[in-house]
Amino acid sequence: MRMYSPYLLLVLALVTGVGLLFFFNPETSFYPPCLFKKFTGLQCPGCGSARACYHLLHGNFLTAIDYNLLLTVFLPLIVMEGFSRLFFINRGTESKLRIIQNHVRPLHVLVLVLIFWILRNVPIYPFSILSSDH
Amino acid sequence: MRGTIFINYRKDDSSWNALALYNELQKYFPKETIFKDFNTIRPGDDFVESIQKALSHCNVLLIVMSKNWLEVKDKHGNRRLNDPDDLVRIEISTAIERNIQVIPVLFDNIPMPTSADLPENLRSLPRRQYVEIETTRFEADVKKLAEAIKELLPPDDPAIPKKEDHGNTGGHQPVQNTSNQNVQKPQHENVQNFRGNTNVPVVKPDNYLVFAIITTVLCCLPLGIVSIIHSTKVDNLWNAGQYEQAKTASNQAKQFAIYAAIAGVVVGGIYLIMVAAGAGLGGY
Repeated sequence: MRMYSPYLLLVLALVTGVGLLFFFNPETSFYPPCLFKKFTGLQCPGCGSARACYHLLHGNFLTAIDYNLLLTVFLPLIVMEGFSRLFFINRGTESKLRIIQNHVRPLHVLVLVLIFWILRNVPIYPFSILSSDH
Repeated sequence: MRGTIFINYRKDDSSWNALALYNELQKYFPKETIFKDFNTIRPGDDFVESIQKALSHCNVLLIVMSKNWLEVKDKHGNRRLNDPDDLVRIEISTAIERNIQVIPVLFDNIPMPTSADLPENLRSLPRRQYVEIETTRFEADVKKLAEAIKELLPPDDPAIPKKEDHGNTGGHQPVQNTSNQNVQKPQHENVQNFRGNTNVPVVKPDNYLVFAIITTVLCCLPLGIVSIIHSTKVDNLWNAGQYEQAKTASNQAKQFAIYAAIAGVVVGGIYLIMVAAGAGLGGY
């Protein structure tokens, strides 16, 4: 049992997090704000991700994209990775689920994140879609 | 001749680890190509000679290490490793001398021993890339190791000429050369081809990209980006042949992902406490 406890802890934390995000809307309740945004007034690549998660959990896919496109794109891949690590450790199926690990280059992610970070702070129409503010 | 794998271990340290590894490797290699107890010396044998003989068929020597590997003592209380006649030590030093690929396999989360802990003729050991096996991911870790070993063994397809056969093949040589090179290409992208080279790593270190992305997208602190930058370095350094630096970058990618996660939790926690305190005192 002991050797699985880190996983158990992780699963517990995940369940708690998903539960909180499902029942409490970050737009109206107690979630901590982003420090980067608080001090600089600018949005970081993660701004809006809590609200995006909330809306994804409630099936509002387009609203989620509106809050944080990056999260909405990466979350399914991250979930698949986590799933493969937790449940398919000992089988051959794991590599098919590990899309990030096997097919995504870190440099591409870095460039994507940086571009996203800059563009979402440009307050002009096509880019303002990326912003988490409305 | 088909390649062979030798498992070197200390009975007082790793007999179960060695047995588990031996059994698991049989999923990837025929049983008769893996040797675990080749150091069984019959009375009257000159053991140095026996080891030399056994190792002459060996392509890869796996050194199984666990918590007591460095410290196992003989009945007089002296460290076994200090004894020049220690069988484990002789096997490893002989393999190093003969340019056999030596791969330390670390169990139970132990760190790689440092040169200072090792006798003179094993001092080059810490410079070699090792493989870590964790109980929670045993099968996946052994699979990685097996893929690395496959790259080291000579091709066992009889249609492919061995290296020594080159030059005797006359007009067919260029064609066969090409096919041989194809075989030598890494079949798995995480595994570097290093046959014939003695001091090169085995498995590409994890770039922790998934964790870097999670912390970037979920935590509002840009520490996750630092993690992605280190993650980028892992692949570049690995491809450039800077294996140790790749390992360092891998560790840094992991560390910054952890820092980002901790910072996220701590900042969030402090905020919640402040809000709770504020609410308790009558609010804003």
